[in-house]
Amino acid sequence: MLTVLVANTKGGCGKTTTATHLAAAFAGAGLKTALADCDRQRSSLGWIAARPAEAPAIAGVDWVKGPGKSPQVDRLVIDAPAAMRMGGIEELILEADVVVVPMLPSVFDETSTTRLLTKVQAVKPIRKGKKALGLIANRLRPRSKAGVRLERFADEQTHELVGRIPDRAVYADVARDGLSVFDLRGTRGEALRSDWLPIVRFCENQA
Amino acid sequence: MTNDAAGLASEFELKLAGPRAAVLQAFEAFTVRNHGEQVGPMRPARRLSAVYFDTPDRRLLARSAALRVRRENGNFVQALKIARGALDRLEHEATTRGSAPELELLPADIRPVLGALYAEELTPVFATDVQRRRREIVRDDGFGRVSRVELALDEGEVSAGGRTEPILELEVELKQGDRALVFDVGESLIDAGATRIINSSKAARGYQLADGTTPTATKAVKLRLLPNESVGDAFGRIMESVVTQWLANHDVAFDGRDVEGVHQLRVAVRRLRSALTSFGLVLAPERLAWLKGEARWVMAELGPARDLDVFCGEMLPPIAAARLNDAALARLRCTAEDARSAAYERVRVALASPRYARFVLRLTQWLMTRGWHADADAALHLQLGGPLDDFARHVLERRAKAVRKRGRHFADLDIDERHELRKTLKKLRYAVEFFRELYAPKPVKRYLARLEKLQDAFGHMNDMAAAESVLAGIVEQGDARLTEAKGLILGYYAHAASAVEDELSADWQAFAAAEPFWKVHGRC
Repeated sequence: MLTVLVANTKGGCGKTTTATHLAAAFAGAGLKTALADCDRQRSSLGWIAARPAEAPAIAGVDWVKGPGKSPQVDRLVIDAPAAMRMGGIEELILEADVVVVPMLPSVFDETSTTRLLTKVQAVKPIRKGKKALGLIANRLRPRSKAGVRLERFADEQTHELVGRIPDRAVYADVARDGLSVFDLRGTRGEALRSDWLPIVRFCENQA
Repeated sequence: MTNDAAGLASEFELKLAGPRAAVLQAFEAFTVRNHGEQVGPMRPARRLSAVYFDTPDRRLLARSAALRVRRENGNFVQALKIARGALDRLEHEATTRGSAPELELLPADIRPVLGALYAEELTPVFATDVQRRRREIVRDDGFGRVSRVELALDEGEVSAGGRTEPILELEVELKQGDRALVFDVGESLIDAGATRIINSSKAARGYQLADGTTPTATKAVKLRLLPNESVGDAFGRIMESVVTQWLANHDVAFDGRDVEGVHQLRVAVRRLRSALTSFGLVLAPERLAWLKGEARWVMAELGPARDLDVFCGEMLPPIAAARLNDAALARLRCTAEDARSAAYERVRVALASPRYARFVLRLTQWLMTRGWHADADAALHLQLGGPLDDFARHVLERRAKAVRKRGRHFADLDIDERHELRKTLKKLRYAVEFFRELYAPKPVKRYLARLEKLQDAFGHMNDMAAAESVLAGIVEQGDARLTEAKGLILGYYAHAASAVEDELSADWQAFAAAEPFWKVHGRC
């Protein structure tokens, strides 16, 4: 089993979008997948509840009151709570094989991401390079000032930017229906998921 | 080929190569030594061309999988092979609509092995194009069992990015029945001159060509023995790990570009010897003698290459670094490099020899049939069925006793006596390594730490002996320059050895006082 932790302390940075898309990517490739929701808002679990029966199945796990027993699956994605205290995140990192940190192109996000990365860096397996951590730029607008700034910010970090997800209306649409771009058919789906495959690859290479 | 529920086939095959004329002759005039086989006619040659796919970051390769699409009689057939250990692999075949792989055709339980994989990530990596000639060998044992193997001769090439490499190999694949027929056919092919065992797949060679990589050595996988398993079962699992390590490094050693190849092959052979020694009490004496003899021969053939690797790669550099412009040392280095090339040629000759091929083949068969049970008389049978923990305690005690005996009056031992002691320590070490999982980790670690430290100290003394023996082999008498360099090196290592002399006595004392971990639970 490979466990992927999706974490950032600030809300609205695309944490649930990332967690649901990674889960859908694993399930769509024929892997037995579960999504554990640690966030009080339970958005990931809501997404699973809305998911149509014909879409590749993803098991929802409620970890809002803290991590419980790991389900017997090939891939487990953990949607970490926003506003995490140090003890909480350390426990989740030890649970995970790989950590991905989504962030937005905004000054506020840089501050919260820096704070999170400092905390995360203190956890031994991350500090020692035993567990990989990747940054994801979310809602990126091509050639925007903020986008350039975010790339520069990412360059300064010890961890690599492993994915760039453009800002598109489709994400709001699919989220409402419990779907992801991995569930869209045809060339449109293929084009959209090409943005996510580098992140999937990053996770898979830790397996 | 046997099928399991998911439609996955488990494949068992043996591959041999050799000089072209010998390989063709072995195929065309094929006869088996045993009686009762029917050798089928040669079927008309078929052209097989296949394209292999992977992701740009080679995730299939990382998971020991190979995915290819092959054109056959106007159809496209996709095949996925996944290696399971050194001897077996899983295979799944399905007809595709076109030349592109179709992942949805793979059985559901194979997907987790491959990980999250999307078809659009797959690109062609390399292609193979061979003419395949086949014939069938059938044996009816007259007792209700029919075995069939296919003998195929593949001749052609593998190509990637404009580069090509020739392929010429014989493949013996079990289609039905008893694996023994594969080994018998293998022996006959060796007799006919196809004497080089090939362990790597065409796919492995394709990847090397495409990515410009060389075959690299692999270490043994850690083994977990269980206290309640039988002695025979435990020996089987040790042998499996030995043979797996052996086969995984065989082609690497033959290739020679990764110096670890010869080293890891030697480690595998040494582990075989120590397994034979540790379990010698439960093995038939004639079998034990034959296996030990062949293993000793392989070690001797590989020895000079390893010694010169160490000499050129580890012993010479510190001295050369201290004396940068020393002409005598520079000449010695050239001489040593020449000797190393010659030693590697000797390795290649040995690894392609009929003696080596037969040894590997018979050892593999002995392992696969758990031949030690068939070898055993009634008394040995009983012991093979006994519990491992009693046996382990017995072996460890014997080894430790041998060390105590050799180490008596430690301070007065001469060079030869010390060498003998070093060897008994090595045997003890192997026994500890084999059986350590049966005991609480902490006492084992403590014991092993003292043993290792002592062995390291002996190692420094052995460095000098090794340098001496290498130099004796490459420096001709009367060559003043080389003799000068030789003196320099021996002086350096003699000094290093004398520096650890005091340490050695202390390490011996510490080891002699170590509490044997296999006795800790003895008293209740």
